[in-house]
Amino acid sequence: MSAMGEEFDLLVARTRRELEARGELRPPKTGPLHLDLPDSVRSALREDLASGAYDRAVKETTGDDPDLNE
Amino acid sequence: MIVIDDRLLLMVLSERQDTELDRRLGDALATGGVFTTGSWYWRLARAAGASSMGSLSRALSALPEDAQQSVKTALARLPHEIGMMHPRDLVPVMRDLRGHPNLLTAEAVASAVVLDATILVTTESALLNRIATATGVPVEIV
Repeated sequence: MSAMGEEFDLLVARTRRELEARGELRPPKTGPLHLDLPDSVRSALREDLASGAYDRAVKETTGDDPDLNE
Repeated sequence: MIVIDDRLLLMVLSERQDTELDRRLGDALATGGVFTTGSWYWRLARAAGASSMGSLSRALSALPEDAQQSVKTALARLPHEIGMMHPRDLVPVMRDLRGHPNLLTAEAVASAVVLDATILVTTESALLNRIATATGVPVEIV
């Protein structure tokens, strides 16, 4: 039994069984993505991550929403 | 199996193989082992269109109109190779988590406990650490 107790463990186990029965314990597809983004866009995404621009964008769009912040 | 945050999701979407972390994420993708949450996906989808994303804005503006739209669509739609649990399955588990998690934390921990996954994040969060520890879910900061 986990630290969360028997009822919680049963709930988790039931949820897993249901997901497995529907084939949803894995994503719908496996393998590499094929988004076909231009190299300029791929580089730009990395630049915005590294520079902190993405974090500023998150701040800009989520503000102080307590449900969407760590 | 890993549940990744929005910054890691953005790394995955950029489809680069520059770093050890890229390769780790790529390996997990190859075996259908990458999930994210609705909150992290929502946060990324909104931020991707923000003016603060200077490099992305400049790269987009250099593209023809139709290509710009293709890129925006690609970044807004979660690829099928990345899993996300449905709220119908997740909410009952989220409800039973202890310790007053917010939505973002509850989704992440509940997803990870059902998937028997590790939560992979780029930012330390005391709230996430507390709720995950109480639930027995591993959190790794990369």
